[in-house]
Amino acid sequence: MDFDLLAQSFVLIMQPMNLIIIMLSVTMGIIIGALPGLTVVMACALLVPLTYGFPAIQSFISLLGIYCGAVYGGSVSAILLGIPGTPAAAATMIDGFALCKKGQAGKALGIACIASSVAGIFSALVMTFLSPQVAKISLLFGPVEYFGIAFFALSILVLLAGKSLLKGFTAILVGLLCTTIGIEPLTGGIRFTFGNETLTSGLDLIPVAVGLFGFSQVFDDVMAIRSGRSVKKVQTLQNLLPKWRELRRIAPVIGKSSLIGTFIGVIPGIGPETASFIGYGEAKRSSKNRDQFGHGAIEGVAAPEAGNNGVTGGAMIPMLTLGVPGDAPTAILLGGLMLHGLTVGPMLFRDSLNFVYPIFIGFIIANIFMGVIGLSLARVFARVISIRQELLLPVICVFCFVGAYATRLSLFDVGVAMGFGLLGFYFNRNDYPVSPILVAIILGPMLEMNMANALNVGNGSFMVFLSTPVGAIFVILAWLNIGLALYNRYRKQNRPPAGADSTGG
Amino acid sequence: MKTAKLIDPLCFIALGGLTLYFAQAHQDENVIVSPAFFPRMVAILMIIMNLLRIITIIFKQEKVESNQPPLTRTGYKSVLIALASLVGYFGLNYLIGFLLSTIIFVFGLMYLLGNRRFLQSAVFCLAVAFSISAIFKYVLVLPLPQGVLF
Repeated sequence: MDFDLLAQSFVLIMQPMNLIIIMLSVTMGIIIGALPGLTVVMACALLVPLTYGFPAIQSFISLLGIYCGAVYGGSVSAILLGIPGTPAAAATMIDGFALCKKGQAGKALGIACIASSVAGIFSALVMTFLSPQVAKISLLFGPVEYFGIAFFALSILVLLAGKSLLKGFTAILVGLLCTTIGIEPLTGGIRFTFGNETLTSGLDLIPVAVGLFGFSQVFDDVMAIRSGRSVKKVQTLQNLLPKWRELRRIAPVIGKSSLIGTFIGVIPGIGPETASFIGYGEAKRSSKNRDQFGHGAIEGVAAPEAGNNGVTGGAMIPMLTLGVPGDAPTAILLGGLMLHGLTVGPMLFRDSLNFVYPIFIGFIIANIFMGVIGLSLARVFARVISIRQELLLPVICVFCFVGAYATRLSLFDVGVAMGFGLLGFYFNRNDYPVSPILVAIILGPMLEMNMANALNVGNGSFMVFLSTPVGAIFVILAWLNIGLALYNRYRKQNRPPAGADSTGG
Repeated sequence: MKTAKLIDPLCFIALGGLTLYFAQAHQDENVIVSPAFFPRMVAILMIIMNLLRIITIIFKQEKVESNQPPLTRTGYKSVLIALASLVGYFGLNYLIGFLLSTIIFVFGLMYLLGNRRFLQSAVFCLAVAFSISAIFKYVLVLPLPQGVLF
C-alpha cells in the first residue's frame, strides 16, 4: 500500500468540485432508492450516460455516490410506507414500519441511516486495505458453496415464519415455485409459461415486490380508511439520533451485519437482499429480546441496513480485482469503468493506482455524506406521512404502477404486481408471512442452478453437498437453523401455562 | 370454522398437484437432473407441509390467534373497490395512456376515499400526473404507456 499516493488521493477528492459531485449523487441516489419500483441498478444505469463527458475519476465517484445512496434510500419508503423502495429493504420494513406505526419513524430512519453509513464505511475500508487478499475468497466458491449459501439464507427465513412454521414453509415454497416459471437455468427449457411469451423470462422481482408490499398495503389502507380506522400516527421527529443505551444495543448488531454484508458482497452473484435477511436473521437469533422482532425492535432495523450497505464495498472487490461484478449495480459500474478505457483486474492495481486510490477515498467520503445527508433528509421524508391519506394513497398507487411498469416497460408486469398484491393481502389477513416469498424468489434461481450443477458433478449423489468444507458448513448450519426453529416451537407449545404449579403438586 | 381453515391448505395441495402434473412434460430421462426435478421437489414439499397443516387443524386446536381485525362487509367492499380502481387504471393506461388515466384515477380514488374538495382534488391530480410524467420523460428518460387509442 502506497500511503503517499493514498494521501494525495485524499487531497484530490477533497477538492470542492468533487465533494459537490459526491453530495449531489448521494442525494439523487437516496431519492431514487426511496421511490418504490426504481432500483439501484436503474439509478446507476441512468447516471452512466450523463457522466460520460466527465473525467474518469469524477464520473466514477458520482456512480459510487448514487450506488450507496440508492441502497440506503430503499429503507425510507420501507419504514414510512411499508413498501420497500428496493428489494433489499424488505427486511428493514419488518421492524421499521412497525416503529413508524408506533410514531417513531424518525428514530427508525436515524438508525437505518447510521447503520447504513457505518457498514458502508467498514466495507469501504476493507476494500481499501484488503482488496487483493479478500478477493481470493470469491475464487473459493463453486456450485456446492453457492448452493450451501442459498440454502442457509433460506433457512434463515424460518425465523421470519411468524406464529406458524408450516405457514412460513408454505410461503417459502410459493416463492420457490414462482421461480420455476420461464427458462430453466441449466438446459434452457421453457417451463410453465402456458404460451405466454412475456413469461418466458420469468417473473421479474420488482413487480412482485411492488405487488406484495405496495399494492397489498394499498388494499389494507383503503379498507382501514373506509372502515373509519385511522392509519396515521403522529410522528416523533425530534431525536433522530438513538440514545446512548440504544447505540450500545445496536453497535454489535451493526458490526456483525457489516461483516456479513461485506463477506456476501465479495461473493459474486448473491447481492444485498440476501445479506440483509441473513443479517436480520442473525440479529434475531442472537438477541435476548427475540420476541420484539417484528414489532419494532431497533436491532431489526439496524441489522438489515448494515447488511445491505456492507455489500456495497464488498461487491466492488471482485469487480476491481478480478473483473467479476459482485452484484448487478457493480456490473453497471464495471461498464462505467470500461467506457473510460480502464481495464479491471490485477493490472488495474499495477498500472492505475492513481485511479484506484481516489475511488477508495471517494467511496469512504460518499458513505460519510450518506450518513449526514440521510439524517438531514429524514425529517423531510418523515413529513410525507403527515399528508392526508386520501391524497397520499393515490400517489403511492401511481408510483407502484409506474415502478412495476418501468422494469421491462410492460403492462403485463403491472398485472403481475396487482396479482401479487392480492396474494400479499390474502397472506397478511391469514397470518402467512410475506417476506419469505420475496427472498425465495431472489434465491430460487441460485439454489436451483447450483443444486443441479452440483448434482451433475456428483453424478446425482446428494453427498456432493458435503464434499467441500465451505459448502458443508453452510448446509450443516442451515439444517441446524431449521432444527433449532422446530425445537423452539415445540418447547413453546409444550410450555406449561402461566401460573401452573411447577412442582406438579 | 375448522372447515373454513381447511380451504388454505387444500388450495396449496391443489397447487402442488397441478405443478406435479404440468412438470411431467419437462421430464427428461437423458440427464441426471431434468428441468422437472426442482418444481417437483418444491411441489412435493408443499403437499407435505399442507397435509401436516390439515392434520394440525383437524386433530389439534390451532392455537394461532390472528392480529388482524375481522373482515366486515365494508372491508370486502373496500377491497373490491380498490381492486376495481386498479384494474380500471390498468385498462385506461392501455387505452388512453398514462397522463389522462392518472388524472382520472387519482381524482376517482380520492373521491372514493372521501375527499369532497373537488377543486383541490382537480389541482392535485393534475399536478401529480404532470410531474410524474415529466420526471419519467425528462429526468429518468423512461417511456410511460402511450395508449392505443390516441
